[in-house]
This record gives sequence, structure tokens and C-alpha cells, in this order.
Amino acid sequence: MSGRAGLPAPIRWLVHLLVPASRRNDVLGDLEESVEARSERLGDRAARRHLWREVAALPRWRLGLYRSPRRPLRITTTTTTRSGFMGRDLLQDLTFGMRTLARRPAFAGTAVLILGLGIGAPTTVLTLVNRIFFDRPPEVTEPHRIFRAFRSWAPGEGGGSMQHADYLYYRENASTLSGLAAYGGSTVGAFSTGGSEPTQLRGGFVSDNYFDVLGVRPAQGRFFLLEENAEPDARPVMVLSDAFWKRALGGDPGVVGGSVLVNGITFTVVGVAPAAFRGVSPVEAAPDAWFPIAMFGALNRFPDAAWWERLPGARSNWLTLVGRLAPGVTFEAADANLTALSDALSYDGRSEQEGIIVVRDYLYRPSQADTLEILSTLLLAVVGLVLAIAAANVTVLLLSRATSRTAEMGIRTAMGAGRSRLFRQLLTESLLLGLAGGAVGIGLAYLFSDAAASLLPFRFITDFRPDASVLGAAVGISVVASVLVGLAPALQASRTDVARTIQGVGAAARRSRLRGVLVVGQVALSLVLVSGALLFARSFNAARTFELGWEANDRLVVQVNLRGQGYSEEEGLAFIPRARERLAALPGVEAATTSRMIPFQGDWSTNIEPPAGAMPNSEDGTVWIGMNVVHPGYFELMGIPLVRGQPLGMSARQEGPPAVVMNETLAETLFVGADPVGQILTLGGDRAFTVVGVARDAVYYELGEEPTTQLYGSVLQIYQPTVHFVLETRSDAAAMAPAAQAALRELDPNLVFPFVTTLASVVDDQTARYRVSAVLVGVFSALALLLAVVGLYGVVSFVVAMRTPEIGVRMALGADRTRIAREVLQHALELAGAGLVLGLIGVLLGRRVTSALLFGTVAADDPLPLVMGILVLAAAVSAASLVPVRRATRVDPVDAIRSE
Amino acid sequence: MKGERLGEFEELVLLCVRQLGDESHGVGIQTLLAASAGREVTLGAIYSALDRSHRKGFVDSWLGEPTAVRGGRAKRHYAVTSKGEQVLRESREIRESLWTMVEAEGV
Repeated sequence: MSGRAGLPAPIRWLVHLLVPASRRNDVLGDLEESVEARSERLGDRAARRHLWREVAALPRWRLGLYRSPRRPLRITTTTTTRSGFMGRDLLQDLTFGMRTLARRPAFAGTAVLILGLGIGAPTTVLTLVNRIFFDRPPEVTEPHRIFRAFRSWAPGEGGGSMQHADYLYYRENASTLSGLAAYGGSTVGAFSTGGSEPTQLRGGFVSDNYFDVLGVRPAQGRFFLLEENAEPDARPVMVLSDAFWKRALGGDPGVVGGSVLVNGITFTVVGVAPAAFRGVSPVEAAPDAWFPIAMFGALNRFPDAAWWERLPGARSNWLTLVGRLAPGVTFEAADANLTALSDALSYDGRSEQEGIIVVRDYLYRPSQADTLEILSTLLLAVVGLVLAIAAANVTVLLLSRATSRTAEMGIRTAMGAGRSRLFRQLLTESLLLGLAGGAVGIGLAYLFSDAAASLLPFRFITDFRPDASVLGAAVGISVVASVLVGLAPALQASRTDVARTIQGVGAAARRSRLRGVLVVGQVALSLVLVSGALLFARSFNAARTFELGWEANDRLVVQVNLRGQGYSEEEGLAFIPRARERLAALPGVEAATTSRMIPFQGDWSTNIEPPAGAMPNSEDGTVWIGMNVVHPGYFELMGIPLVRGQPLGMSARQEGPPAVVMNETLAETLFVGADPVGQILTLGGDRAFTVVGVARDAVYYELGEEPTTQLYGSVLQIYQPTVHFVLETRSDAAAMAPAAQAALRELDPNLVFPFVTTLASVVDDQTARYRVSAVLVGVFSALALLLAVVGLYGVVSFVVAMRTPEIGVRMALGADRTRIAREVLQHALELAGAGLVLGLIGVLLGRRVTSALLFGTVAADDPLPLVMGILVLAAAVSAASLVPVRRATRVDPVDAIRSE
Repeated sequence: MKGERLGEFEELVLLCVRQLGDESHGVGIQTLLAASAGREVTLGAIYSALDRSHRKGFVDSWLGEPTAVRGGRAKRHYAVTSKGEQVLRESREIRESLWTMVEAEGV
């Protein structure tokens, strides 16, 4: 390349593109000169290569990508500023910290990621716990003054509904409340606007003051008036929920004052509730519309208004009470007031044991309250451990980093930077790491809260997002974690001894010890989590595979409420066989039957005085009998074998009293040692049944329950207006639901289906509580294990790196490779062993928390998960040490000594 | 006082500018860096350091006369300002005091 020829055209063109006109000329000149000089010295080829390197560097210059070069020495104002504004120091600390971290992106990235995972786990769980326990019903005024009250049937037990009479009694006599309302008795009806296709509507009944007590304001129109609840079936008015108004009426703006049909009765819509209002508690399904209690009879097609007359004395429990504390009254005072009223209450048929349960828990539901609390405690403990492991891990990282920064610290100390200043600077750096980790953690919580919540054994709250209080807590956790992880490294680094650090020995040994302790801790906590996760996995598996005694797969359930649909007993008895046959004939359906009760969906039972020779199974000396009424084909379809006698007959007629089948447990309870078949059983004093067969025991009410009594009658002989059609399908049961509903609507276009499900999902709901602990603890413990392994790997690698010169010398002197490998491995295994022993203690201490969440047949002291946990940890620890140990045995003596 | 900070590379470039005096321009600095510090640096990196020093007021720059050797193109010349001089001197003092200390500690 000769000088005269100048630069090649593409180069000139590129420079034109990259460099602004003001600089173009001198840059082109420099390039030409530089190439020329090089070409003279090194030849044309080298010059051409150089030219391309130069051109490639131009965009970096123009885009400002040449960062200030690394400055291990900070030769400026910071070290000379001894005093000055705190704020200015802080600002300097922050900007310096950011630059320091940005200079080591791999280190900073790792630390931020680990902290992010560590903070993300508790933030996610706090998001759930916060929504579940501290959320308040929307649209309710001063929700902290709202409580609910339930009936208890024995001290500390219960959570049942109340009678209307109870409600009136408490409302009249309570002195600590500014209002007491009642709600309950949900009903499913057919809603239409006249001429239109009916829509299914889920209605709830409320006392006149329900909305007033809650302090909800209508979005449109008004709520109920006192007189609208004063007479039976006289004032057909209703309030729509916002969701239903939009769904069924397309958000018609003229809805208030308009007339609609519900179950054939013309109702006037008086108002629409605010969109966010979902009732008092999300555990109770939000109704599509609210009706005054006085409309209960009409909507349920009671023949006359006699029910209203009987209501004050009716012994049926169907209402939940919701009250508002009077101003200045504490919850405890109101609780005491209502409990005293309950104690004073007595009437015929009321048991001495009965009382009242007053709760302010938004989520209180008797069957789940405990589970949720224990589950939340467990999850909080687990994520606390994950956070601790992450913090220990980052501390180890920072300690290692501090070692490589001893020179910097020494020089800065030598130049007059005070220890407190260095300490603060280092703490600022870890604060930056912590806050960045917090941001990552909050991001993870946003991403994963919904997924984690979907595992919970309820589906009534959705849209889990961290709110302001969770965000505040996450920031708090981040700050505390930063201080914790930064404290030890900062203290040690700022205590640096100038002379010794410059010699390069420093406090490495001390740090190595602290690192060892932190690794032991991580291994210990990991063992607790991993063995806990395995225990929960075992529990979930036991629940999942628990022998139910009936077939859950490929079984579809469709509920029809015949009384609600306006059927008389006669019409109902005609409809059931017809509908069953229609369903059984559907393509894809193997068989169809009916059942009053569905497993795990409540109970229907009666207590009888034990006949002669029977064993009472209740504390009060009676025999408790679970009841069901089924279509005769039920046993075959459910896969419940008969062990004695005959199945229920297909005929509506029966010689003598109606036929019943009892299960083995009931047979053994009532007829100890005798053959039950052919016996006459009397229930309720006057109703007699002929026992025709005995069926195998099955699970009805709860997974893992002790065998319970069960009596089956035939729906053809004992009419029950609520019917569940159960279909055995050839493939996916849920997919058959639309066809089954369509087939039933062919028989009656007005039918509505309050409850459609599959038996598999009914079982799934039962195992959900075991699944959530298995999955969440599993995920978190896998995370913990990963972090602990990375931590151990780091420490062993570091030890090997520190000992490289020593190993080199020894190998030069003829030391055996296996001996060196053994030494390094021994160090790793000592750390791991200490961790496992500590972890074992942790596992023993943690048993009490876990036992409450384990499925019945799995014990908290089951040794298998612990043994497996130890094996998993041992394998992981060995894998983590392997690479550094190999590295130690491959040390090249010459290199090692030279690096010294 | 952010502007008073001096990077290590910037310091080298400033020293080259000072050394080259009137002859300092991109290629001159590049050649001197290669010869005295053994560092092969691209012009782009040098321009970046010079731009930065210019913004901080450590160097002045001006466009010179066109010369034949560069295909008739003008050179951009640089000179260290008094502020630049001061920063260079401070940096040197710090280094020297450190070295004194290090030697006194007896490494």
C-alpha cells in the first residue's frame, strides 16, 4: 500500500458514515499516516489488518463505548474528603459503588441473581399470605369493624349456619353492635328477561339491613327497604351484581326499575351492587343477585306462605351472621357480649354444647382455617430458610471478593481513607446489590405469585400481585439482607492491615473459616428443606393414591335441583328415570346413574337410638348414620362391590318397607355378629326400611378418614328433589359436560345446573392441600440445594486456589496425587458432614410444624425422606467438590511455583 | 468535583501529549504509546481519551495546516492545559508518596 494511493474507497466511505464532518478530515489523515508508518515497519499485510482494526474501533469511539478505563486506584477527591456533607459522601459512595459493581458484571450479576431468588421466594409467599389473611372485603366501609358469627356445636368446634330465630335473638339483644345482618340460603334459578333464553342465576338471600351493615353503596338504584323483608313472597325485588348485570343484561343502563323473570316470578330490579363487591368473604361464592329473605319461599316454589309463619321457630340452620362493631367497641368486647347471649339462650332442642363462634378472619371457613394458617406458617419458614441460604451464599461471594480487593483496601487505607469510610463504602456496595436483588425478587414475585396461588386448596381469590405493603416488606427484607451479607466482609475488609495486605497474605485464613461456617449452615438448611420436600412429596403421593373404594376417573357429575325447577314429587319421580336413560344413551357415555350425595361435598346424616345389640358410635350414645339416596345402578357405576345380599331393585315397588343397602361399617355397628340382610331398620322413630344388601366400605367425607357408616336408599322409592346425575364416560369426563347438559335441556329447556364437576376434580380438591406443600416446598428446596451446592463449590475451589502454590511445591517434592485429592476432598466432606449433622437437628426440630400438614397415613418421623435427603445432599456435595479436587490433582508444579 | 478525576489511560495519553508538544496528534500519540509503554492502541481509543480529557478541560485541541504526507489532510493537534498539568502532577505525587510508603514497609 503506497502512501500516494491513499485509503481504499470502502474505508473512506465508512469513515464518512461514522465520523462527523468536523473531524472527518483529520481522522482520515491520522488513519492514512498510521497505516503508512505501519506499512513501512511491518509490511502491507500487517498494515491492512491494522487499518481494519482501526476502522472497527471508530464506532466504539463515536458511540462512547470506551468506558473510563478501570481505575483500581482512585486518585481523587474521595480519599481526601474527610468531612463534608453526609449527603455528598453518600452520593459518592453510591456512584462509586455502582461503578465498582459495574466493573465486575459477572460478580454483581451472580450476587444480584442469588439475592433475587432469595428475596423473590419470601416476596411471593408474602403476596399470598397478605392477600389471604390481610385482604379486606372490597366496597365495605371500615371493614375492620366487620365480623361474622357462626354456630358452634361443641366448645371450640363448628362454624355452622344459624337459625333465623337465633339471628333475630342476637339482633335484638346485642348491645355492642351498630348493626347485625344475616345472609345465606343460596339458590340457583333460571333468569330471563321475557322471551329470551333463560340464564342460570345464583342468588343469595339477605336480611333487610345487609348492605347497610356492610356500608356498601349501590352503583345504581338502591338496596333493600325494611318493608321488603316484612311479608312473605309479597315484594319481588332484587339487587344484581355488577358482573351478572353485564353478563346477562349486557350492562343495560335502564335496568333499574325494570322487570325480569326468575324461576317464572316477575322481579323488579331495584339496584346494582358495585363491581368490586363480592360479599363479606371470598370463601363464600359471590351471588349473581341478592333477594330479601322474605322471597325465599317464592323462589324455592314453596306451595304457600306457611314457611314464613314457621320461620321464627324453624330449627333449620341456614344463615351466617355479619355484624358491625359499635364505635369504640373492641372485637373482644363484642365476642364476649355475643357469647354471653349465646350462653343465656335455651330452647327446646338446643344442646347444652351449642355456642357461637365470632370471627373477624376474612377467610374463616371452618374446614380450612387451620390448614391455611399452618400452611402459611410452613411456607414462611421455608422461604425464610431459602433467604438465609441465599444470604449466606452472597456473603461467601463477598468474602471472596474482599480477598481480591485487599490491595485496593490497603492502598486506600494507606492514603488516609478512614476505616469507617471504607466500611460504609463496602456496606453501600452490598446495599446496592441487595436493592437490585430486591428488584429482581419483586419481579419474580409478580411473575410467579399467581402460579403459586393456583396450587392453593381454594380458588376464590385470583390476581395475586404484590401490593404496597408487600413491596414495602420486600424492600425491608432487601435492606436487612444487604446489611447481613455485607457486614462481615465489610468489617474484615475495613480492618485490613496495610503492611500485611500489601504483602498479600492478609486475613485469608480467618475468612476461609467464616466461609466454612457459612457453607455448613447452607448444607444444614438444605437438608432440612430437601428432606421436608421429600416428606411432603410422600404425603401427597399417599393422598393421591389413597384407596377411595370408588372409581373417580371418567365420572361426570351434573346436579339438578328439581324442586327449584318447579317439579312436584310426582313429576320429579317421572323425570329422573327418563333423564337417566337419555344420558346413558349419549354417545361416549358408558352408563348413567344418580346420587343425592357426592363424596367430599358435605354430609347428610341422621342419629338413631341404638337398637338392641348395636354399638353406639357417637359420644352421646346414639348411632350416627351417613345417608344417601341413589339410583339402583349406582354401585356398579361407582365400582362399589356388594359383599352380601342383593342390590337395590329397579322397581319403585318393594315388598314391605323401602329397600336399603348399608355399608360394612354400618352393618357391623348395628348388627354385631348377625346377618343384616332381611332386617328391618327404623329411622326417626317411624320410618322403616328393609336391609337388602351390604356394600363394601368407601371414603365419603374426607381423605384418610376412618371407615364411616353409610346407608343407601333407592331414589325410586325415597324421593329427593336434589339429584346428581353421575355419568361414566369413555374418555375425558369434563368434555362430556356440554353434551350432558344439552341432553337434559332437550327434556326441559328451563333446566339449570348448579353444580357440574367430575369426580376426579372432586378428589383433586381433596389432595390440593397436600399438593401445595409438596410442590412449593419442593421448588424452594431445589432452589436451596442449588444455592448450597454452588456455595460449597465456590468455597472448595477457593481453598484449592489458595493452596495451589503449596500443592505445587509438595508435588514437585514427589507428593502423591491421590493423597492431595484425599486432603481436599476431606475438607469438603468435613464441611458437608458438619452441615448434615446440624441439618439433622433442624429436621428433628421442624417435625412439629410439618405433622399437621401431612396426609394421615404419613408420619412426620418417617425416616425414609430423611435418609433420601441425606443421600441427595451427599451426592450433590460430592459432585460440587469433584471439579476443584480434580483441579488440585492437576496442579502443574512449575506453574504453581512460578505464580508464587 | 467530578471533572478532576483522571483515568490511568487518560493519564498516559496526557503524558504523551505533553511529551510530544506541538507535534502531538492522533498518530503521534499512538506511536509514542507503542514505543514507550508497549501498548498497541487504536486511534478510536485515543480519540475517546482525548475527547474525555477535552471535556474535563485537561487538553486543548486545534486543527493544523494540511500536510503532504497525509494526502493533503490537516492534523488535529493537542496540548495539555494548566489544569491538566496540575492533575498530572497530583497523580504523580500520590504515586510517589505511595512508593515511599511501600518501600518504607520493606517489601
